Parts: sequence; structure tokens; C-alpha cells
Amino acid sequence: MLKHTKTGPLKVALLSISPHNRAILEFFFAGAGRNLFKVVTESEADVLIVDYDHPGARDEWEKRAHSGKPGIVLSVHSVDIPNGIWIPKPLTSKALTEAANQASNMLVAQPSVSRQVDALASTKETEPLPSAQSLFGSLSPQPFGVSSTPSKKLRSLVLNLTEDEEEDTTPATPSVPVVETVFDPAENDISMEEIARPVEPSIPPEVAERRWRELCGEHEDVHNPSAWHLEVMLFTPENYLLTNILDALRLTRQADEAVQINLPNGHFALLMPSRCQAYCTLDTRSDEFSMLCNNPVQTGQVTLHIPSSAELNQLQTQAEENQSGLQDMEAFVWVISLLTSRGRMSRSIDINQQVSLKHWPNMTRLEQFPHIMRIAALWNQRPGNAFEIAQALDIPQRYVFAFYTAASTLNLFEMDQTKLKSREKEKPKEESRGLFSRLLKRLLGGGRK
Amino acid sequence: MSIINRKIIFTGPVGAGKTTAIAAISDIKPITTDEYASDMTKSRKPQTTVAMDYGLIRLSENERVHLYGTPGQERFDFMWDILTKGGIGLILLLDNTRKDPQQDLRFYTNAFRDFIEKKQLVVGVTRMDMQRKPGLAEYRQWLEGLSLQSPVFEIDARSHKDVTMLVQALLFSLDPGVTH
Ligand SMILES: Nc1nc2c(ncn2[C@@H]2O[C@H](COP(=O)(O)OP(=O)(O)OP(=O)(O)O)[C@@H](O)[C@H]2O)c(=O)[nH]1
Ligand SMILES: [Mg+2]
Repeated sequence: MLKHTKTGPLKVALLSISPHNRAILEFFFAGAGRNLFKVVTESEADVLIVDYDHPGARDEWEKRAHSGKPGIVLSVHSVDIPNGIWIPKPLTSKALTEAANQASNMLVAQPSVSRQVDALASTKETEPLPSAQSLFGSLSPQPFGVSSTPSKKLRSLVLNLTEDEEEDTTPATPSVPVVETVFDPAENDISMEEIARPVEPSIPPEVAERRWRELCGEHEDVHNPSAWHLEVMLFTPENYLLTNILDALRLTRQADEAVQINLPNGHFALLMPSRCQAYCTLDTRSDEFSMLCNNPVQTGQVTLHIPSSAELNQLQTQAEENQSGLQDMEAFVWVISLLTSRGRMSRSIDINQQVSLKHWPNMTRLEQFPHIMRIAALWNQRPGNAFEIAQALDIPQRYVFAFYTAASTLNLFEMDQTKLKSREKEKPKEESRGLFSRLLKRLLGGGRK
Repeated sequence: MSIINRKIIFTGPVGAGKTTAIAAISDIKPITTDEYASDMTKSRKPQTTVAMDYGLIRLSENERVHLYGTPGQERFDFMWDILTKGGIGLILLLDNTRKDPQQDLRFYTNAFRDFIEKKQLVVGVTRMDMQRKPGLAEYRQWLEGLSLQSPVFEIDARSHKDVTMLVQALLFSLDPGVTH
């Protein structure tokens, strides 16, 4: 059926056509019929398409009769004019396809017209019409999971444009991918209004660096750690508040109830599983909190308590009134892990074991430190131990150790050795890396240009 | 000088914050592409107009990152052309106050499955300030159930910082070696 293989798509110009039929044609030209028809200016066109039922259309056609260009004439009534091919309405893709073939045969039979037309359309080279197979190829790329090759039958390219088409035995196949050409602003120059985005005040670098030291420590890298090194690199979680917090976390999840953690000096924290939030009367950025996490706690200094519903109401009201003390529950556990470990790893885990990051932490709501995104991304893609990740990224080990401790506390790692697999993507080209890096600089520079 | 065009696509259900997220990081006021339908007919190119959101980050004279927000439609075949020419990755925004966010996740990851496999997906959950549940732990389980290991963060689409984090996660996932 799609057999006119001598030239590229038929170059057509649209004369008067009702908006409805024009829309149908454009839909067909952009999709299933993109290799059959190409809309060009009238002077470049080999064939004219006209809607004979549209007011003024007949005059328009008659004025052009001398050009000798064949016409495809759309009408509800049969039209028999010289050099014209009638397509009855409602339009079907089958009729359009047949008309395309008929028109190209007419052009072949009138070489003078074609030559004249070719001379006019001198700039554009005519692409050879793709073979049926490559035609399929061009229609089948289907990025979105709909079956990619609809059917091996050429007929399935023909899409029913109307529901009530009788002769066409091909069932209406909504799953046939219609590749449309969509207006893409990236390829058109359009006028745009600039946005003036206020520059967000950034934290002074010395303040940020001080905080990073609290969270990740200051240890130098060690290679081939000796027993003495291990002493410095590792910590014993049982000695610290972190262990009480983890007990509270387990309790709150098991009981699905809020748990209160009583801290020294009348302070407390409240874990609320119903909203995945934690409330703490101490500011987690304060020196007092930092010391509480980083110094061993004595037995009995910290206690857990499940509040009664009356108590809970009162505690929650207090939390609501002090929004600054409220945060994401994971973010709370995260910061405690970091303040406790200060760039060290837990003595209770095998530091040489290969692990991979199963789930990303909720980066937008927890405290950041240098290289955190890269660590997460790499560890999510390939298994390794903390030393290997630091080496691969060429960054200080303490940041990787800090990440390891905090993300393990949140159970984000895959420890099961049988489930580790590398999902590293092909190395992107250098040019992408440059562009990515410039994009990050721009975005992290507070949105300025 | 040839211009390098790269593209980031924002998708997700109605009201999830796509337009807002694009506005949060775009250099230009986001436009809707169907406003440009008339220009299109003038050019006489056989193109279909789809009401997409569009924003832009100009990195230099010849480098541009285009931001697209998909319209709320059932199928996204028409995005194919746009995605294949310079698509970097997909940012899926899910509204935590919707009836069935898990169903939304399933629908959009399926609709863009092949693109996600080739490139990268990151998920931002919006309106968690209005409704805390489901929590991120649930989203992680759902993603795992779909064999996806994409980053998923709580975000407010109005926040430049939050949207930037999603883009960072996207870029670093594609290339952890990027520096800035
Ligand atoms: N409270 C709250 N509002 C949000 C958040 N994210 C977005 N919004 C608001 O949600 C509304 C809808 O956001 P839009 O950006 O228009 O959503 P959209 O995805 O473009 O929606 P459609 O174009 O209709 O599909 C806007 O008023 C946003 O300001 C959020 O995290 N919290
Ligand atoms: Mg919108």
C-alpha cells in the first residue's frame, strides 16, 4: 500500500480547508503519514490539497488549474475533475495513503510538472523514501513502555482516523504508537521574560566549616590502618545517647506509638511515628546538644517513656507551638549519628564489608556536609566499603565514614552480600560532565547568573 | 557556534507542583507552549501543539538546559521527540495529599519506563507539609517493588533549594564524578 518509493514524502500545500479537516490532516501528517506527506509552501508543492466543501475553495482550485499540479480534493460529495483525486469525507488514513500513491503516480506520468517543481524547490534535497522496514523503525521507538513493535504487518501503520470506517478491516489499534512532532521551544526562538530571583543569603563559610567539623570530625585519611588507627577511627555506640535513641526508635515503630526520651537537665525529645517527626526541646545545632551526643552517657541519665494520651496531647501542643524544635524523624536520628560519630565508624560493623546504598536518605530535610550527594550516588550504584568509596571519589575519608555511620543507623544500606550488584552507568562523555558541573554551579550559587 | 541543548523533564499528576518547580529554578518566567500555537501555524510545520510548561537555564552563550513540564495526559508518546534530543533525565513529582500516590508512582514510572532505564529518575514528594503520611519509607518500599532505586526526597516545589537538590541527585546519579 505504501508503495511510492521513487521520491521522498509528497510535497503538498494546503489551500482552503475547514479547521476540523485541517486538524485531522495535520494529525496524520505528523504521525502515521509523516513519510507520505510533507507540508511546504505552495510554490514548492507538487500537489495541492483542497476542501471542496469550504466556501471559496472551488474558485481557489480553478485559479490554479493552469499550474498542472494534481489536486487532492476533500469532499462529502463525489468530485470528478481533471487532475484531481477525490477523497470522500470523513477522512481516513487509508484514503489519504491511497491518494498519496495515486498523486505520485500522476506526477511520474507528467514529468514536466515534476521537473518544474524540482527546479523551484532547489534548496532542499529530497530524501529517499525509507523502506517499509525502516518506516517501521521510525515509528517504533517507544520510550514509554508501550509495546515497541506493534505488529509486523504494514497495514497496522494505517490508523483509523474515524470510528465509523467500514471497509477498513484493520481494527482500530490505539496501541499503535503515533510519533508526533511536537512544538519544541528548544528549537524555536521565542521571547521570554527573565525572572529576578532574590539571592538567598548563604551561611558564612567559617560557620559552615565549623559545623562540618562537628558532624564529620577532623581526622586525616588512613591507609592500612594499624591497631592504634582503628582506636581513633572507631567508636562504641553503646556508650552514647545514640543507643538510647535507637532503642526509642525501635520501640516507637513496634508499638506504633509516640515515645518520649528524657534527657539530662529536664530536656526531652519526642518521637512521633504517626507523622514521621521528632520534637526536641534542645536545638540540635547547639553546643549543648552536640556535647550530649558526643560524650558517653551514664546509666539512668536517659530514660524512655510512652506518654499517656493526655500527656501526648499536651506534648504535641507544645511541639506545635515550637515549630523550630520539630523536624523529620530521620533527620533527627541522622544528626545524632553524625554528632556521635564525628567521622568515625561503629565498632559493631565490619568496616571492610562491601555494602551498597539501598535507599537514598531524604537529602532535602537532613543536615548536609561536603560531598554527600556524590557519596550517595556512587554507593547507590556500586558496592564497596567506605575506603573504596572515598578513594574512588578522591575525597577525605571522614565524610564517607560519617555518611556510612548515619545511613547505617537509618538502615539504608544493603548488607546482604547476595544482593549486591553494580548498577554503574556507562561513563558519560566529558562534555556532559562539563555541562553538569556548570549547571550545578549555577544552581548552587543561589540561582544567580 | 553550535548550541548545546539539554533537557530535564518534570512529570507527575495534576497539581503536584511541576509548574512551580520549573519556576523555582528557571531563568525565565515559565511559559505554556500552546500559547505559541499561532507562531507554529505560520511556520507551516506539521507539528502538534501540546500544552507543556517550559522553562530555561542559560549556562553560557551556547549551552542551555531546557525544563519541560508534561501536561496532565494519559499518554506521553509525543514527548519522545523532545526526550531523544538531549534528554538528561526525569523528575517525577508526586502529591502526598492525593488519594493514591502509590498508584501515581506506578503510572508515571510505567509511562516513562524506557526513558528511565536509559537515563535517570528522581522522585520528589510534595505537600508533605500538609499531609505527613505516607512517609518516605513507604515510597522507598514502593520504588523497590518496582525494581527502581531512584532517589526520593520530600520537597516543597516552591523551594529553590529543594528543587535544586532533586537536580543534583539527578546529575550525580548520572555521573558521581561531577565536581562543582
Ligand atoms: N503547601 C504546599 N504547596 C505546594 C507544594 N508544592 C507545590 N505547591 C503548590 O501547589 C499548587 C499547584 O502547583 P503547580 O505547580 O501549579 O502544579 P502542577 O503540577 O503544575 O499542576 P498542573 O499544571 O495542574 O498539572 C501551587 O499553588 C503551588 O504553590 C508543597 O510542597 N506544599
Ligand atoms: Mg502546571
